[in-house]
Amino acid sequence: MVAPEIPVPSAKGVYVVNEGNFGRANASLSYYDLESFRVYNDVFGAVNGKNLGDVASSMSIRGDEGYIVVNNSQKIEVIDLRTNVNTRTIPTGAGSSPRQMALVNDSLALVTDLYANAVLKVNLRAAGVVGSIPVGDNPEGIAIASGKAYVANSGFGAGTTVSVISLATMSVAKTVIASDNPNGVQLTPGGMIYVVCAGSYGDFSNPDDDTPARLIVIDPGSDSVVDTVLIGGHAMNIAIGSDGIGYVATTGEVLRVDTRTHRVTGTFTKGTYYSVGVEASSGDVYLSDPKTYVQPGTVSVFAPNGQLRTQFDPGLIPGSFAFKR
Amino acid sequence: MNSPSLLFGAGLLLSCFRVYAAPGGELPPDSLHRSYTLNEIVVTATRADAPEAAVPSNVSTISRATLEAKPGSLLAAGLAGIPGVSFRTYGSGASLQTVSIRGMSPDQSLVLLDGQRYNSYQNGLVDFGLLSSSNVDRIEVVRGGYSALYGSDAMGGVINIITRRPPEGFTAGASTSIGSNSLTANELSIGASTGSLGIRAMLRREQGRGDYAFLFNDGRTTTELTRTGEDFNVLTADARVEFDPAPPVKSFVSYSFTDADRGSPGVVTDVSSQGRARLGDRMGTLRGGIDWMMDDRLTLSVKASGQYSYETYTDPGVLIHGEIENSYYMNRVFAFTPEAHFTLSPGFGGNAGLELARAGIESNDINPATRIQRSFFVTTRHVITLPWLIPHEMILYPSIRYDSFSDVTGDVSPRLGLNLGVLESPLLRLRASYGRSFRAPVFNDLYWKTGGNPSLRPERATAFDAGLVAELPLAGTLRIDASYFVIDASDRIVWIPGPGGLWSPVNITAVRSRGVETEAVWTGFSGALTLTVNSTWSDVRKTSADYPGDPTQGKHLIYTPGQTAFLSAICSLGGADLVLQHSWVSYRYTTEFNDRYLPGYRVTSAAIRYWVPLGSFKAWVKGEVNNIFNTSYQVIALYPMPLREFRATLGVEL
Repeated sequence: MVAPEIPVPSAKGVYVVNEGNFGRANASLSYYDLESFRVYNDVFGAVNGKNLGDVASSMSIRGDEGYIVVNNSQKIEVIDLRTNVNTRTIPTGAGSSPRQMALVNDSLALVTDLYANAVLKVNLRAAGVVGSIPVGDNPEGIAIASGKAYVANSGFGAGTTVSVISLATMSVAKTVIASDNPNGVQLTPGGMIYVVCAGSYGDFSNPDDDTPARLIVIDPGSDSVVDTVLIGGHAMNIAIGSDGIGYVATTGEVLRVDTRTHRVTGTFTKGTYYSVGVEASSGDVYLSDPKTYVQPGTVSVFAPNGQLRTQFDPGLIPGSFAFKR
Repeated sequence: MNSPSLLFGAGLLLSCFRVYAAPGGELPPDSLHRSYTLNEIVVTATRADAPEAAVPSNVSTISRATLEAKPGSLLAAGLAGIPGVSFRTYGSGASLQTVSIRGMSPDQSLVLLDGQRYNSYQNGLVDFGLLSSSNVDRIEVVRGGYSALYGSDAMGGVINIITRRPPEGFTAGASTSIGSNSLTANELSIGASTGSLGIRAMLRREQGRGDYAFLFNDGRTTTELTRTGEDFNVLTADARVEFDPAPPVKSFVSYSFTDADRGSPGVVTDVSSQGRARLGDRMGTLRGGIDWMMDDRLTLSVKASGQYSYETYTDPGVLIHGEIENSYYMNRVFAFTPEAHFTLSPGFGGNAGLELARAGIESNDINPATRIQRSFFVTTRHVITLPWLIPHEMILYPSIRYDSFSDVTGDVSPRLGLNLGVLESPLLRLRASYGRSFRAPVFNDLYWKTGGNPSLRPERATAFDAGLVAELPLAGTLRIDASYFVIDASDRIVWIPGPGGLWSPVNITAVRSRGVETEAVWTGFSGALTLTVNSTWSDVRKTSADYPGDPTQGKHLIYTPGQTAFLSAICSLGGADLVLQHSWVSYRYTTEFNDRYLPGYRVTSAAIRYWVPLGSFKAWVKGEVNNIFNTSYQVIALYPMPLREFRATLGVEL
């Protein structure tokens, strides 16, 4: 077994969160250094001598701190982004299933809890859950805009709603009807909320009763749906660059979406990818392929014009990206 | 002279006093004071009584006396340390345990109950966490591919659990146990035979809180935690009636019932992991058989069984569409096996028969399904004596079986076994086998509502093994067994993700399992001391590339240790039996990519049992310690095993 290397400190890079297999405690963190263009695998383990845990769902960055939500280990691991040292562990409670996080401020985060049908209020300084807000069934994605948090209630494919939480009252102010299977929630540079609805599966052995993925556009001013974009296939999330171009990985292709006009402008590249990320300064698109799910996946880095720049193999099931700048 | 061919004749005579419905029958009054010789009769290797020296495969037999003396009340504990056999254990008490023979997965290892299939049609497994050894007379383990005799699932080997029969005269017994983690067990049994009627009944309840201490290590710090949610409560009842109306005819009816409620907390991934899932099991099996010994050349037997099992899995911590996870699985199996055992001459005989079965499933996770099975088998034995040659005797065992199923393709399984007698005294015999076996896809893989694949083909394997067995006098008796095996399995069913992230099973992988099993057993002081040492080396790898550039090709399968070793000493002195055993298992990979592993471990256990006569009763006390040296280990990643555990049992017998 190759010993993982400790990364040389760098100011710019991409963290790849490798989910790992459920129940195997083999989640890991990889780092692609954008100054040296070196890839470091199992960064968390190499620096801290500690296992990251079971199923790392997502990572959020604020300032010099990174927060990795480890779903089946019921915790959030906090690292100092300058050294990757694990400064503290925030337990989310026995029986919890934390998925995605949205940062309210330096000390408070909201984390969706998949099986509790609620959003957890997590104090990042005192290191613990301080409350929960009931939402719809099986919440996944969450994003914050205009003093509100928008939570996608997936219902494991049967859900159709988005819960709008008022940060002032810390309770659900409105429930918006979106489309089938809401999953990812992102903010556009124009200030709109994009909810990626993955489409329902119905009877799994019958592909003809599936509904297609759609992008629901919510105006946070009115908390109402102002546009619906047909994506097709099944897509889980969207990554939006600072230029307003969004990339959606759906069945068979990655589509370009213009977030100013809410239109699909074309196919970025062909192929079925698991997750997408966009690096802000270059506009490069990161696409992950988990392959067989039991071997290291592959991340492909494309320039905005669709040209492949490079590929590297991080860990098992590269599920999400976090960009350090 | 101890020529095995003569022993076949003797076996036939002895079989007059046996019921084929319980092949092999109950052996004479048991004690540990026995010299195990290779003249012991086994039944699983040939579907009929045969002396162990003459069969084409290595057989391990665990007697009732050994089961009673060894630590542990579960049948799996009695099977600890058998070469080529390893258990995948998910905790303590009554938690799930499955068996793996010769590196094959648990659904490729066949378990029989009195010669009839016990593996589930739903998942191909037997949960050894629910099987106690109380009703077991002995266990025979035959290694090798045996689909030619028993059909599906016998790719690595066969474990035959032979149940206890009505005693001579009248007996009654009761026992009570207490142990660590609030373990209690109580058992009542009664038995009698008179003339042509015999009866035996047993009732047992074992329960515990399962809150054992274990060590959790996240890579940096080790914390001592307490396992929660692994409580268990298992009730088993068995009854057997034997009726021999007239000398050539014997019959039996038996019923066994299990009702279990177990916590199934799942993996420990963090100090706060606390699973609340629960498993409920309710199973009833009604069996019956008739044997008719028409003459000394032909015996006809008919066996029938009906089994009903209802299993539930609930997890209050998992909400799907607003409801907690609540799965149920109802399986019904009816089987009918008419069989003829014939001996046309001392050197030629065999069995031929049919196995007809109907299995059905109803579940909220699986589409309803029914399978009709029609199978036909022939297995024969040809003895060729070569008095002027070494080897002086050659026995050939050709067998073939045809299995057909109503919902999946069937298979033909041929097999050829060989046994060569080289020396008589000391005894030395060589064995070899070559054959094909298969595993029919199970209901879980075919009809699972979200992703089942009804067009799966059977898994197939070609197996070869060669070995020797020797017995020589050495201040007692020394028996040596050694075998080399290689199993090439193909079309192995693996669940892989498809478009849209939906997982589905496909026949995709090929696996090669190779190894060497060695064992030495020394018995001395008139059977008062038995020392056993065995070691198995194995190499189980994926040989196929599931797609071009597949980096898991050539890698080891998960949970297949490269080496296991076992040492035991069984000592009988006065009224006391003492058992000391030590097992070692080497590291096992936990990822298909072989980049992570569980470290090897050693576990030592001991038991002592003492008999005290009390007038017309006998009383006994048994004390046991499992994991004496407090080893912290895991058999399956993230399922911690208990540290040191104690148990004490008090019993009386009439």
